[in-house]
Amino acid sequence: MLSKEEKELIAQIWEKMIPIASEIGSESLHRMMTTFPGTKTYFSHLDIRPRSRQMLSHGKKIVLAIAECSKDISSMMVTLAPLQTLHAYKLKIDPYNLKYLSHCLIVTLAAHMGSDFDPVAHAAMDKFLSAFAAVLAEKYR
Amino acid sequence: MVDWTDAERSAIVGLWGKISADEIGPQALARCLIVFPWTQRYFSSFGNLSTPAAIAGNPNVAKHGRTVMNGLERAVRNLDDIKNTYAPLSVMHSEKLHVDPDNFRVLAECITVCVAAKLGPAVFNADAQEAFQKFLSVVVSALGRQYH
Repeated sequence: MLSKEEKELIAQIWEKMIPIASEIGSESLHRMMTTFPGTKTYFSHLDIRPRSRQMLSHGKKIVLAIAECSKDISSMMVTLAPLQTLHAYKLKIDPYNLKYLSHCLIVTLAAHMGSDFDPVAHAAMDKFLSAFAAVLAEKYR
Repeated sequence: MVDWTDAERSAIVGLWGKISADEIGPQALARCLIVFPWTQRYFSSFGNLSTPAAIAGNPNVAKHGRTVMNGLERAVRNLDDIKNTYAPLSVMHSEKLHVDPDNFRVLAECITVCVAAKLGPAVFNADAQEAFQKFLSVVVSALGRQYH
């Protein structure tokens, strides 16, 4: 359950991340693949060295998709429909991994925002990313 | 026995030297109680936990946060025997305190976020995070080990 204030807070945070989407995204991916090595199995077709061109581009895509959703959280099901199909029928990433990426996105935000990523922001972000992951995995079965 | 690489050992000891348990402990416990409010179930005797501000300012939360975080010192000093180092604490959390062991994982997550916020992305980089999270997961496992 996200309050109106929480939704605004989440939108504000992601708005600030848009200009540095490739940094935030690629750092989160690198943190995830380093801390949870099983996640690397989904990237055997890409150059996963930190800040490689492909990681910067892939990270940017992910952050921009999240930022887009954050602008209108109540419409998440509609906004994410194409990505739901992609993940369910083509990528088939075990949805458990979405938790790992969400965690690393949060660690990346905390590292970059410092004390601005206070417990209230953390709580809102954790709720939002959990909901995002759940919606993303909805068409799996 | 846990396999630590030399890089992981030095990362863990290095990170521990860069943070203050007295500072991070209260922040991490408060964050846990705010972000995962069901964890408040164990702290009904702590007084006012009704708002994030109340939790952040609660002296019992701060004191307990310091106790818990300083408790990690023993693990840092005994990286090769964390399981036995924490066996009595594990028994206590199970039989006396009746704490769901998933809470150890949840608190570890909050400690990680607080350390990241404190140290920033250059110091708390991916390799540091990997070593630190591996360390915390060993602690979490040791604390849950004596539950039957």
